[in-house]
This record gives sequence, C-alpha cells and structure tokens, in this order.
Amino acid sequence: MTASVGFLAIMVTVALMITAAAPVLLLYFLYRDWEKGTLW
Amino acid sequence: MNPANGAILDPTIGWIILGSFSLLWLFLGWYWGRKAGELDEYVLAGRQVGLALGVATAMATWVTSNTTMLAPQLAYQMGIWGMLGYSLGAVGLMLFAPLARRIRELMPEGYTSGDFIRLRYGVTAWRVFLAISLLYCLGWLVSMGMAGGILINALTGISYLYGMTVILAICVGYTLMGGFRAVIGTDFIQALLILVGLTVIAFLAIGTIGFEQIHAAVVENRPRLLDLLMPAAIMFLFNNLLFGMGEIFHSNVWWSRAFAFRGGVGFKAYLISGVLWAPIPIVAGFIALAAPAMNLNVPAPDMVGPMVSAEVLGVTGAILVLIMVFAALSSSIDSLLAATSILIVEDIYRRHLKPKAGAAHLRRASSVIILGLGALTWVLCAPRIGNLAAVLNYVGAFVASTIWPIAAGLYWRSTNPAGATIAMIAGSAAGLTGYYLIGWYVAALLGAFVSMIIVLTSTWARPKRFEWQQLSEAEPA
Repeated sequence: MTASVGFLAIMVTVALMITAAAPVLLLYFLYRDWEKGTLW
Repeated sequence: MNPANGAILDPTIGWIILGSFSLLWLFLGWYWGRKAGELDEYVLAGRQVGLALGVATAMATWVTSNTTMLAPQLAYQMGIWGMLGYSLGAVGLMLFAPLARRIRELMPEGYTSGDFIRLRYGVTAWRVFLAISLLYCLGWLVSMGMAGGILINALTGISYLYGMTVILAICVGYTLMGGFRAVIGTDFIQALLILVGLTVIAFLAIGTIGFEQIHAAVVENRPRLLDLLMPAAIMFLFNNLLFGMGEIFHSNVWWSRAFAFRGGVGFKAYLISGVLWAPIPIVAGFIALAAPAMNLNVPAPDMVGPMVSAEVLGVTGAILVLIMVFAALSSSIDSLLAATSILIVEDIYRRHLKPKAGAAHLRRASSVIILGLGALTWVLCAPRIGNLAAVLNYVGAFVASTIWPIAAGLYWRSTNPAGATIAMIAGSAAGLTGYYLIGWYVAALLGAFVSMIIVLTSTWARPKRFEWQQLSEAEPA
C-alpha cells in the first residue's frame, strides 16, 4: 500500500505548521512568565 | 560542496560560526552563573523554573543531533514509517508529564532519579539502576561527542578531533560556569534556532520542488519508502516508542527537570514539549524525501539532510544546518553533563563515599565532576571507535527495562523491591539477547516486555505496602 501525494502533503504540512508555530508559542510563554515574574 | 575535502562548507566559515556561538554560550554561562553559589541554585536552577523555559529545555534536550541528522537518514532508508517512528519519541515526553507532577509532589526536595529508586526499592535495586543509568548517560554523552566531531567534519571539513574537542570544551565551559541555569537558558535559544532553521529549510524545499514532484520522484526511484506496510519499519516504530519511554522515564536528565520546575509546571511543560517535538522528525525526515527529486547522489545516508539543505539553499542552507546541529548537540550535551554530574555527586559521592558532606562541599564536587565527565568523554571519543547508532541501540535494552519499575514505583504502593530489581536485570538480559539473536530493532521491545511481566506478576503475587512519606528526605545542610 503506497502513501498518496495527498497523505504525504497533509502529514508534512500539519507537522510544518506546528514546527513553525512553536517558536512563537515559546516566545509568548516567555513574555507571560516575564510579566508574572515566574521565569525562574 | 567544498571540493578540497568533500565538505559542504569552507572550514573558515565553519570556524567563524562555531567561534561566534561558542562565545555566546560561554558569555551566557558566565552571566547566568553569577548567582549560582548555592547547591540548589547550581544543580537545579533554584527549583523555580517557569513554563517557557521548561517547555524549551525539554524540547531542545530531546532534539539531539540524531533528530536533525538521523531522522532524515531513517526517512531515506525506512520512508514514511521511519519519520513516524522517530516522531513517536514524543510519546515518552508526553507520558512523562503526569510522572513529573507526581515526582514533584512526592519528592519536593529530591535531587536525582537514583534518590527515588534508593528510597522506594532499597540498595540492591538502586545499584542495579545506577549501573544502567550511568551506562546510558555515558553512552549518550560519548555518542553526542562523537556525533559532534563527525558532523562538524562532514559539514565544514574541520578535523574530527578539533570539532569534537570544541563542542565538548564549550559545553563543559558554560555548564561549569552557569550550572543548570545556564543549561536551561541556553536551551531556550537553542530550541528557537533549531525550530526556525528547520522551518526555513522545509518551506524552501517544498516551495522549490513541490509535493507532487517529490512524491513522483520517490514513487519512481524508491517506491519502498512510501510503502505503508513495511514490516521492519513498523517494528522499528514500536521499538523506538519504548526506547524513548525508557530513556525519559529513568534518566536523571528528565528527573532533574521535574525537580527544577516550579510547582504545577512539570505536567504542562512535558506535555507541550511532546506536542511541539513530535512534528520535528517528520519535517526533518521529509527533507530527505526530496533527495530523489533533486537527483542527488547521496554517498552516505546520514548526510542526506545537509545535502538537500545545501542543494535548496546553497551555502546559506549549509550554514543553517551547521547552526542547527551545533544547537542540537549543545542542548543535549550540556543537559547530560549537568544531570549526570548531580547523579554522580548525590548517588555515588555523597551516598557511598561522603555521607556527611554539606551543601557547599557538594556544590564544589559538582563542578569537579562536570570537568571530569568532560575529560572522560573526550578520552572515549578521541579514538573514534564504533558505530554511534549501535551504541545507543545497545543501551535500549537496558533503559526499556526500567520503564515498569519506575512507573509502578511512582503509582503503586504494592510493587516490591525484589520484583523491581529482577525486572531490571531480566529485562536487560532479554533485550540484549534479542539484540544479538534478532536485531537492534527488538532490543527495547523485549526489555520492556520482560520487565513488565515480572513487575506485574511480582506485584500481584507478593505485594508489599510502601508508605509514600518514606520518599521525603531532608536536603543536605
């Protein structure tokens, strides 16, 4: 059973979207911890 | 490619990049280490680490050079299941989330995973566990040190010995100066570098070639890679899942973070880091699938990632890969140095040799151990013996055998010390037997399975009540 181009595209696009969003999320968490004084 | 030595980048560019980031890490190590005089500050960053740094350090540490280099290699050799199988390493992080919360609740003043095993199961189980844990830590450290030398050499042409020495010396330098705070702080920056670099390369590969062309080229040249029913790859998938769980459940790298995170952070940090980590091997692996569409002649599968990046982005792509690899290696080596040093200080030095040592004494001992570990790793890496992946697959049998004793020990009162000890020994033996008789891809599977059977049957047959209060211990004075 061979993976179709659609399967490959959806899998990689979802993975890439999460990877691209991760730095933004990390920076948001950093900002929030900084504001609350809970960085470390 | 640099025709002189077969590397992708010129050595001068390599030295400039390595030098710049080395200076940055060392400065940050010094800056964050200024207030790390106390033992808890130095080895656990004051036990008040927040969510942002918690998520980033868990993710960056789990993104080793293997994730950025081996994931493309696995995709190139095992196709879609290689990518998905590697991605299942994230399950270990996610499943550790409730354990991290439990660890913080049960042992608010604990230091190491060894502390838990000693208090929960007694001295024999503790020594067996220490042997497994130290073997694993050293194996991972050596494999990262060697990977550093090999990758820097392949990417820049800088000799193996120089590359390996630089990466080890820098990691030892900033971990020594800044302790755990430096490890966690630099992990945040390293996580950002890895994520941004990977995103840029993948977007450009898709934009330049496109899914349809990549898919068509793989169907034509390497159709096996798109086979959804490749048996060895499916076996690899489950083995990798259990290997990852074993690595995370037992290793002090992850326990020390559970102790260092502020109350209520551990669960969220590990869960989110798992969700954010899972797509990384898929994206990194996909880059390798673009190789057939580019008609690239890949001399060694482990260089497929950098070669595609260099082809898509030229020198900029190769520089991005070097920065990502350097960040991935540093974030793992520093964590290993810090977590292994406190394991040795607490479980070997204090508990075996100097039971009356105070906090100040142990703080100094931690520094000495970090230096010693760095030196030992260098000595073991210098001859460049053995295959790195083989070393790590070998220890898969050992670490997977600790999954059940750890998880059961944290949640079930009735799991008994003898059962846990036998589970670790017999699980390791079974995993090793499978490694030699069948193949590396069953070592963790067998180790975890045998260990599970022993823990379950011994808990059922000979339950022994444990009082959770016994896990509380006073900190050193």
